[in-house]
Amino acid sequence: MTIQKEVFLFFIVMFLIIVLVFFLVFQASGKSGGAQNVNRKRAIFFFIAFGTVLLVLGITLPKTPYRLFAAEEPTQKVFVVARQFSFAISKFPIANDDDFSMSAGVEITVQKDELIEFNVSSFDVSHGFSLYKDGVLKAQVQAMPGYVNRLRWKFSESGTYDILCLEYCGMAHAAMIAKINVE
Amino acid sequence: MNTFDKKSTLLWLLTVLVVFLVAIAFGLTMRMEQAEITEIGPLNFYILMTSHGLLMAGVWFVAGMAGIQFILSRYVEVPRWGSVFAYVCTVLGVVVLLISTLLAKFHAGWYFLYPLPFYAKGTEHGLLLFMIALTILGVGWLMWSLVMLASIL
Repeated sequence: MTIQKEVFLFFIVMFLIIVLVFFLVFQASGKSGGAQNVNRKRAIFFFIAFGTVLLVLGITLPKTPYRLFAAEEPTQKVFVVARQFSFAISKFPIANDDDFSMSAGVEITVQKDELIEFNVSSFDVSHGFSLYKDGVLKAQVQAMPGYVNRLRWKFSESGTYDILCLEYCGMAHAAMIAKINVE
Repeated sequence: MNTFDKKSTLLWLLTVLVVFLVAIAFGLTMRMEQAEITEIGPLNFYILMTSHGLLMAGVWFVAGMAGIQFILSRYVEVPRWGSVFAYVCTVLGVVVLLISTLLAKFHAGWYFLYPLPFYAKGTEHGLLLFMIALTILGVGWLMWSLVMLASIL
């Protein structure tokens, strides 16, 4: 199942839950129960809600992408700088405008199943750096001016990946696309 | 509850409804642009995106304010000037906001992530008007919150 379908299903489920809540509130709006009964129900509701939050945090926090491959040494460093409205991607650091123009539009190739560390920054506004394969988002990190954000990733599939900007950065944001090859 | 509270709530909700419909129209236009039914171009698209996002977020706050004030007025005396002040600020803020986007072409997104607003060329007046609009809305809503808090205490 593609991520788009998952998001759509998630949306439908959340929508149905909201409709159900509205329906229950509407149904209950006429009745007047005892205050003690309402307090008891409220206590149960908060207990369940709190428990659900704890459970979801407990399951998802260990999988946070910030700790992805934290214990391993990356085999390849890739430097990425974003600028309105293009990317420069290189195996060597990009420090100034000359470095940027040398690397802009160049497709680099990295190895499959190797740990790659993307060092991502921006020369002007906030951009996004995201890796897509056949229209499916695989990994992403923010490209921020004045900061270097690190994204560690192992490509499990070879082929050409699309790099899209995922942070609205101005009029040509939608056209800001680069490519990277995985062998 | 007196007639002022009822009438002011009705006015709040009617205003919210009008702004909501405007924001829906903006959203529909953006969808039609994506479906290539209309051709308004990227600048107009992002102008609408900026307006749509802020209007929708604002409608959410303001409808909540109207509801809270209505329920609160059953139990405590809510000062009239607080409601009137917040209403005037809201309407004025929305008008200045729409001028900053639709006329002065401010299009840095509804969350205007720094430093993008300073990189959108040719929209310096738009940026100033946009910031004025947000200040008017912020002051109006902050005063409203303080007035409500004071009337409970």
